[in-house]
Amino acid sequence: MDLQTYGQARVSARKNPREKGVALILALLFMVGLLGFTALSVDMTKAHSVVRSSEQSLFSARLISESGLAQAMARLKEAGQTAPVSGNGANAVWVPFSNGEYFYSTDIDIVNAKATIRSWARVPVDDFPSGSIVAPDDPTWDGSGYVTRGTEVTMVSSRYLPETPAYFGNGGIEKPLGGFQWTSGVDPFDPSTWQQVSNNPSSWQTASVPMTVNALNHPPDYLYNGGSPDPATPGVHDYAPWVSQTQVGQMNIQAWMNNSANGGSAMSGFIPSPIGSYSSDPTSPDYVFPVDTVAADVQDYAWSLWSTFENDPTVPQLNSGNQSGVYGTETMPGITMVTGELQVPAGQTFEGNGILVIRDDYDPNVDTNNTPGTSAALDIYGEFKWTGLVIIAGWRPSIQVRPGGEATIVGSLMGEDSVMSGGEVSLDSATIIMKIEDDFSLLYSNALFQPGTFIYDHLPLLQKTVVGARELYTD
Amino acid sequence: MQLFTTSVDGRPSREDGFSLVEVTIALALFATALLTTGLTLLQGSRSLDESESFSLALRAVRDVCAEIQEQANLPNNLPLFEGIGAVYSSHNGETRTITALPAGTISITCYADEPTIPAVLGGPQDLNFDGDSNDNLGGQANGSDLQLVPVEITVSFTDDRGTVTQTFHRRFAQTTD
Repeated sequence: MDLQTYGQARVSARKNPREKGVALILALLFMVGLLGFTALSVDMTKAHSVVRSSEQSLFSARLISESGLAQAMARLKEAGQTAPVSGNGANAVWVPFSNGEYFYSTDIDIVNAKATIRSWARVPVDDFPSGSIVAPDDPTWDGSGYVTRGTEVTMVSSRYLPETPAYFGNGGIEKPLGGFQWTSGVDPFDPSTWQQVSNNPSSWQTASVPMTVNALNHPPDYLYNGGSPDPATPGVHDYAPWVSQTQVGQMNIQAWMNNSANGGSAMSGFIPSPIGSYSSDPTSPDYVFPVDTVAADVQDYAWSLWSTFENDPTVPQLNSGNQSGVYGTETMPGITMVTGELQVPAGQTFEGNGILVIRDDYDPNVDTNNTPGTSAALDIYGEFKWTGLVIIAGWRPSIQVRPGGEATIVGSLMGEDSVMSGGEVSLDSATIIMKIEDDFSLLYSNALFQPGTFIYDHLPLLQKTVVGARELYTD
Repeated sequence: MQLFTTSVDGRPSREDGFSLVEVTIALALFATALLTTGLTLLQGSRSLDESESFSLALRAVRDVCAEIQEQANLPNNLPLFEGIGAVYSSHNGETRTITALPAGTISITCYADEPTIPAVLGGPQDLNFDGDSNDNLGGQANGSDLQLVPVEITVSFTDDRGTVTQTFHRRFAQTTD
């Protein structure tokens, strides 16, 4: 190759446009690839960020929804067959909570004792989310700008329906002759160790057996219009004459009726007679004085009513001392609260319709000394007439019908001492004192406690069970 | 791609191929592109780590919520720290370690003094449904009256960003019979 040819070849090698073009294209492809990869990485980073943000919003929405649900369920468990809504107003509203809002409403199926709560949460994810005021299951809901989450829970609840003219929880009546008494070696869970009251009874009645306990079903207007109770059913009767929560209470009630009237045949005070169709086995539910361990705690019930209505201006709030008058009528039953010892003076009448709560003054939200300032008592010198439920609960609860006094309750009577408000733990004091010196009639009426009545709406809740739960989605 | 041409004697010539300027520019562009891509990948990796940490933190919060709910569903037995009434006395002020997270802790603040419940938790609030928001139900004896317990759960850990703190809010009630 001559010099010229060599030079041309060299120039050609350096400046071959085809090779340079290929190199340039490859370099461009490489750069584009890197840029594309970079863009992809950026996108993935953004995606991670969005996913994390969404995860946080969804998690917050879940916590908020569950918080609203917790509030609704707690109110249902506390108040029963009410229909709680968020915001405590007449209609549910969105309520701020954490970094979002909740909204819940409740549908009540009274016949089936079923409540369905729908709780929603929304967490804003835009700067300007919609101002929708309805729930996400409403057709007009505008969910733009929100992450939402919903939960639905169905609860079944039932109430304690009094099925006895006298329900004294725990230890029944305090220390009648032949009743339960503490001494050394007594084991409350071993009846063979129990000792009997042999003198100085705390509870008693006069020899003429003035007290009548009638477990037949009386008309709810019996005190107003008279009428006849439904006759006793064959076999075991529909309603027990007296119910307690323990066998000690069972023993005390039997002792009261057998022995307190100077050893007379006090069983005659029961209608229908507890002798006969009932089981002789004290552990049988068909025993004449059955033990009902799942029945409502009277003290808790009384406290629940007291704390709910103590500031309600429509509920009469009576203090200790002489009281008379009419509290609730057949057409307008109500709740009447008495704090302390209600005395009905001779020659005067205290009557009413609905629920009468007689309680001590101990407020466990405020008080800490376990020492109420007053006991809970019903002391009758005059005439006492009540249609509905009478509750005497708290510290040293007692009923006394003084000579010349007269008391009639159509419905049911509940009583119990209280550990909560200063009562003692021992069984012989966790009971109610009864001193009956003149006419006292407890006449049962089942119709007063049925769903749809005023009293039913305020009876204590027993079963509160969640029977279904599911997540909710918006369309 | 042919980076070097061949001289007539078959050996690479110093004068063949790209000039130094061309190669330098190409290397600079390549390095820039590589650095950008590397930084982006690093950021992506950090983002992945943050997401993982965040998921672990949420799992820890979920576990705490489940534990408190389980306790709240027991029948009230305050001396044994069981039931909704015992949630406050059991957990208020509690701090736990999250071993799966660097310097991971989870702290729990419960509220039982109705007037002082923060607004973010819906306060002041009636926790015992007695019709007012004036009660302090923090004591063990008064805890038996608690029906609702607002709880603030704060989770904290460290990552490339430094200390990360997230706060969550939840209200508890007994959800069983």
